[in-house]
Formats: sequence, structure tokens, C-alpha cells
Amino acid sequence: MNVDAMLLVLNEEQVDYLLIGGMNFLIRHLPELTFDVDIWARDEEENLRRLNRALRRLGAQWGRTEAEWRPVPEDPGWLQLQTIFCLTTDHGALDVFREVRGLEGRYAECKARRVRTETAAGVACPCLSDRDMLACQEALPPSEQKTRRMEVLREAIRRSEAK
Amino acid sequence: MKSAQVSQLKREEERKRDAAFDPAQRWQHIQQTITWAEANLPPHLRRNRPRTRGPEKRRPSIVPPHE
Repeated sequence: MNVDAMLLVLNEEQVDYLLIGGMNFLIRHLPELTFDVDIWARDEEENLRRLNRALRRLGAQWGRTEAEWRPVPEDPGWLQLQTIFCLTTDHGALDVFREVRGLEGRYAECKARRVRTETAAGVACPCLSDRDMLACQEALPPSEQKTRRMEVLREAIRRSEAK
Repeated sequence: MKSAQVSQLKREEERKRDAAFDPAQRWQHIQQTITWAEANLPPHLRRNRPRTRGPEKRRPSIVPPHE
């Protein structure tokens, strides 16, 4: 998976997004087995249009069913069909969230708390903050929570508050 | 949308994608991800940094000191 290529295209198309999930945790804390890039995109018409342009450049494919799996269309309307999409792209798996559990309707305030970082290749990467990453985990049913991730996030928050 | 419905949607989306992925391409992406992950570990976990070089430091030197 070429994570840098995905982030670069999202940045070039000026998509308003935050990196969430395992890649966020990997870049900021500990390696974790993860085989997709998860992004939370601001749920607004013009941003979804930019996101769609980026997805088309990345060779993204999606379908309502397996039989309908095909390159994403030029019209970004399909992004309104649901709040989560698991896509294939030429560079690897990409999950797009329009809403994130535990943070519903709070994109703007989460963005204000984001951590600006860069990948090793120097690609800018806006990351969801530790506090918000933890809120996502806490909102999941216990069977889906990643307990190790939660422990590390709590410790990181505790350390940053002690400073 | 209720939490259980979101979980169900996510599972279904992942199932569809897994079915759609070409296995050879998927394997290539996994290998690339591991390489990328190594290069992008947080600073304190990267290789060949003083903090991660404990075992090497403890290894006795062949050359005696001050020779």
C-alpha cells in the first residue's frame, strides 16, 4: 500500500480530512497491524466533490454489491448513499468515513484539535488528536474496542496533560 | 444510525472489498504497507537510533578500550 501516494492526492485536491484509525496510531504511537488507510472527510458538498476527484485519481473502486464493483463515478452523489465506504484503490485499501462514532457532528472541533504531522517521505498528514482517537474507541461496543490502543492513548493523554 | 447498524455496515463494506480485491495485488499492498510502516514508526521505535540500540551497546567490543 502506498500511503504517501494516497495522502498526497488528497492533499493536492485540497480535501478537508483527518487521518484516523490504525495508520494514525502507527504514525504517532506504536506499530499496529493495519492494512487500510482510514480517513474522516468533512461532510460538506464541495468537500465531497474534491474527495471524489481525489478518489478518481487514485483509481478508487466501490459498489453497492460485489457485482456492481467498479471505478467510482464522476458524479460525487454516490458518496451520499451511506456514511462509510471501504474502497480499493491503485495504491491500497482506503476507508472513507463521513461520520465517526463517538464524534458525530463534531468534525470542526476535532479538526481544530488535529495534530499536524508528516510521513517519513514528507507528506503532510492531518491526524485526529489522541483524545478524539480515544473517544472513537470508547464509543465502540466492547467486542470491537482495541484495548491496547486505548491504554496507549490514555497514557499519551496523561503525559501531555502532566507537561 | 445506531451503533450496531454502523458495525454491520462496516463489516459488509469490508466483506465486499475483500471479495473485490485481486489477491496478488492485495499481497503486494500488504508487503508495501509493512515497508512503509517501518519507515514511519514513531521516532522512539525507529531502528538505529540511540534509544533503540541497547542490545548493540551491551555487546562487548572486540577491541579493548584505549588501544
